Amino acid sequence: MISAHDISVRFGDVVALPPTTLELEPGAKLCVRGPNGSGKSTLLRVLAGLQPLSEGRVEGLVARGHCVLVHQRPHLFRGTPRSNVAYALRLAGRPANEALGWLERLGAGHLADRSVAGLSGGERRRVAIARALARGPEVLLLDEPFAGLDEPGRIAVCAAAEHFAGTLVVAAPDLDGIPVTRLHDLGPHAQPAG
Amino acid sequence: MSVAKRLCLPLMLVLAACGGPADKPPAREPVVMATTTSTNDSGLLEALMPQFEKATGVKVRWVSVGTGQALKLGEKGDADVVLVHDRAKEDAFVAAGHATARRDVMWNDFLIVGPEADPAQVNGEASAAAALRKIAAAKAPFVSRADDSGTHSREKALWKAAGGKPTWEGFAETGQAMGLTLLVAHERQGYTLVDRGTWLAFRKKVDLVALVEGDGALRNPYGILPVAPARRPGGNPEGARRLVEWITSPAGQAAIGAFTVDGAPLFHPGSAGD
Amino acid sequence: MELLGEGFAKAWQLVTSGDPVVFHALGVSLLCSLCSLALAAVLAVPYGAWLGLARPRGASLHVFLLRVGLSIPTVVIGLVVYAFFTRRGLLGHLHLFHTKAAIVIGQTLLAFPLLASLVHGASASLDPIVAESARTLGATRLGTAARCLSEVRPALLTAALATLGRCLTEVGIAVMVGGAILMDTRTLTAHVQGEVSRGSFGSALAAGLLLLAVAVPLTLLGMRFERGRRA
Repeated sequence: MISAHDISVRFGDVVALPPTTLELEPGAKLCVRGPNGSGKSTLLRVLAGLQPLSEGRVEGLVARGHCVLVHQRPHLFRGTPRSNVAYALRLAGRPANEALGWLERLGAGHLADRSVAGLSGGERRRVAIARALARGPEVLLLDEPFAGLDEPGRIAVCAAAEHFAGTLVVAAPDLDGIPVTRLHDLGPHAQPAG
Repeated sequence: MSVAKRLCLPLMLVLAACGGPADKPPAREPVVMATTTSTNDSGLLEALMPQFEKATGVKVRWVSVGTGQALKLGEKGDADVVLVHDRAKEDAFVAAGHATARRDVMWNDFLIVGPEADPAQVNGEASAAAALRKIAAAKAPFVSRADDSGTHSREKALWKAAGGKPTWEGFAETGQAMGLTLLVAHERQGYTLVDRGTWLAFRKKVDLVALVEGDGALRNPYGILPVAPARRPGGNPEGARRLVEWITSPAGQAAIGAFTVDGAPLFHPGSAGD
Repeated sequence: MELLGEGFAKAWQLVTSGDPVVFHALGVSLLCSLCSLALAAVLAVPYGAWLGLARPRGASLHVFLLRVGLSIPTVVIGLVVYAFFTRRGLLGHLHLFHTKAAIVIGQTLLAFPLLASLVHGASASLDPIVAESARTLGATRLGTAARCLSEVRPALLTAALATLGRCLTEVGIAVMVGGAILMDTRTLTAHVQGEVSRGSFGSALAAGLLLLAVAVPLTLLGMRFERGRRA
């Protein structure tokens, strides 16, 4: 059970995340919705343990590696999609030959041994999600997973999200067919006054 | 006309007036002298050359390198005059036509220094060659410059006089300048041949003592060689001639004799009389 | 111009005749420089990576000191080592002076600020998303650092080669601290300096060309490492 009470993040005068309260039971499927700059990415980063809070506390945050964030524009490590997924498998203590399976589940099996340098934005995201899933997390955080993805890509990501058994949090400007059961709105917030 | 264009003509006239070849005094460029590191390190040139410049108005620039390199610079025409201390090489230099003549300038001496314990027992030995023979026989540590310098040439001559140089494990060659070679001898507590100038500069820094000196074979004569003008087009042969003239004149010779290091005169003017 | 021709001709002669003096000097240079690089790397790589990735408070002071350290002339480093290890020095009783070990000590001091600055530069320029990606997947702090360094492998290779080159080509430390003793502590650079000193410019150049020739396979080897395993 993850709960956040009145958490907020400020950088000087700039409010990155306005005061927010949230509760997530295991297996929840939540969409955090809001326009650009409303704090969706920041909230995800807080949940991933990558962003310190200015105010408030989060309880129930799971151990490192069991709550994986897929960035909006993910970074793939030098090498191939296969080596990226294998890296996550290694961290999870699973055999490396499972890599291809994860890539195929995201419709990226044919990219397995291509250099990451030549992949398109949509392809990179699919590989990153495969990598995150291969880690076997309890909580999966996806930051705008559909942005710039073509139709087959959206279908593959949706299917993977549906299959995911743990807690899912998706940040998006709109619902767009994302398989969630709950919605948390981050409306546009007032300009910083200090 | 803009300001810039107005300035152009007067500017060009000023530049032209500043100097064309016809306007320069005869000794226009400094005399370039190639000499050895030990000569330079003694400090003699810093004391002597200003006196020369004052007397004649001729400026001197010198580079200090190994003996072989100094002579090479002269041969290639990169120097107007060469000041070194290696008679055999100097004579060969003249014979090859690189210099017009060779003149005696001054001499100092070498000494054999070593550890106070003196395992080869050469202290007070009158003959340097005999001392070297003893050192080799005792297989004591010995450090040689082995760099074809003036000092090295003298060492080779002494070994020849001693009946040849055997090889033994304590014999080390550095291929570097005198100061460094002396430091190696200090670290290893071994013997080495050193020129008086370097010795006076280093003796307080090293745990070695003077053991053999005064032998005529240890005298170290310096020669000055003006480079043949044909070798160095665009050089300053006139300035070189005046330098040679002054340094061998009574005034120059007196200045050499007056130069002291640590209270003692380092160089003896004139020829070494061998 | 004829000097260059003479240099190349003598270089060929050196290689085909296998001049023991020159090859021993080359060996000393390689041995000392590689050891110095390795020793410096043990401290400099973690230190530089820590400064660049963890960005601790006061990091800019560290970086400032490192960069100032880059400007110390090799002769000065040689003098400092001399002061400690000479017979009369604090560590004189170790009898390390004028040994290859002393050269390695001096060259390690030379290599450290260079390697650390370069590793810092490479790690500091990494987008924070790289570290975050590794961290979120569950890598430990150390594992994250290793992953980040792996991402900048080309820059690290250049850092290593630059540092190795700095050690191979310096002469101030090798001569001051090693004594340039024939067939013992004489490095190739000391040999070149000695040859120049006696006026043998041709063989000096030849020895220098030999060093350059050795740099080629070293660089190729490094670039193979840079490309890494396809795992």
